[in-house]
Amino acid sequence: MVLGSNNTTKDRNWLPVLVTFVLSIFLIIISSIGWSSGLRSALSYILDPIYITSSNIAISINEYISTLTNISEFRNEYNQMKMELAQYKIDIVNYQSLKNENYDLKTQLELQNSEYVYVYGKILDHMESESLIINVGLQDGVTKGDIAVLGSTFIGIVVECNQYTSSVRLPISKSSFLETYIISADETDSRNILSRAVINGSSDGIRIENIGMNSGVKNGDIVIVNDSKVGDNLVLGHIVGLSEDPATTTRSGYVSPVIDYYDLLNLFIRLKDVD
Amino acid sequence: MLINILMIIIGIVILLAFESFFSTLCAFSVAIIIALTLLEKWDWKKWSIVVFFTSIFIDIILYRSLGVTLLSISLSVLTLYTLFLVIPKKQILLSYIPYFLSVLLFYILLWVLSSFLEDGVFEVFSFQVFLNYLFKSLLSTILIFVVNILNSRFRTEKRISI
Repeated sequence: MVLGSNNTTKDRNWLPVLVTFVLSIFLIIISSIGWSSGLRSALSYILDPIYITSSNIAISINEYISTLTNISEFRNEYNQMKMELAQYKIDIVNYQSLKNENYDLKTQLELQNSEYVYVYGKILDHMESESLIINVGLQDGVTKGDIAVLGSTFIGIVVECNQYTSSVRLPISKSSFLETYIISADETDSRNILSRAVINGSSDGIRIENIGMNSGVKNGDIVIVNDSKVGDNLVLGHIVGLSEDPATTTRSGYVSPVIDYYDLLNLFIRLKDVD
Repeated sequence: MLINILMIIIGIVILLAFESFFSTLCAFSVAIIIALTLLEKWDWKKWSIVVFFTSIFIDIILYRSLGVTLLSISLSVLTLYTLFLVIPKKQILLSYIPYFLSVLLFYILLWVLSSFLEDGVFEVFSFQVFLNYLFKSLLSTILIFVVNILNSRFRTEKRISI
């Protein structure tokens, strides 16, 4: 009896195989003739949220795992991008430098006096804030006494010349003494000379002295360099901090340069001797 | 009875969620593990009904032709029983070789039948794909082994407590 029952159980073991096989063939036939599309769309309406939720979680985990496995690759890529970024930054700085140079050249072309020959130079260093080192020298035709300008603005006088570099003394230098004249900055006033004056460098800035008491000079008026060493009228800056002492016969003050010497990148050397 | 039906429905929903999750993550099938584990633990009618509906749902959510999963399960169960005729069940390590081979057959059948029933063309079966299925089959067999051990231990504890 027990043996018979075991045999029956063993026979029934094959039933799920048979049942599922027959049902699967039935389903395949239904599917192939297209009868299952209604059932599929109805059930997918219910089942799709389960699939979408699970799949989204799986995708997130997969992305996390792939990030972890590819971390060395990402690190290399990051380093490479850092290098590229540095290169781009260098390119931007170069571009900025070229833009400045272009602007200066344009200014010079528009304002230059055609009687002179100019040499384009770049500033290499500011020496103790009183002079500039530039990258042009004797080889480029620059000689001692040449004038550094930017457009019609006075920058300084070449005081030392080497083969490839030169030193330009700025008006702010304590050794710099130049004759100037002052004209009114007011557009409505006539452009006559208001007063003659002398400038010299000091630790406080460019000092201007010997301004006539009754000349009508006021703060903001324009200072033009007119010295035998310079040989031409070049703009220097505006008057600031004019003294108001009635007991003196002359007035003094300071000159605020048109150009900030510390921000200067390029300039032009006006050659004294064209040959 | 009603509680049993509800539990089976919830179980199917959880199984579908796991099947979708692992299918998206690494094309791994949880359904075959559950089907083979429950084969000898459930009544054949109950097993057939649950496997029938679950396989239809899996086919629908994974965009396979209807009946592909069920046919693959059916043939892998057939292989399992056939192998059990020559390999004794009671030897632990040897008895899991039929499980391994039937799961491997399940994956191969899924790969071949899905493309054949959809496009009428057999998919190219590369060595890399075969290695992938070997690994998945091995993992599935280990999981079946673990589930069986856990199940036997629970039963033992129950007997002791009784």
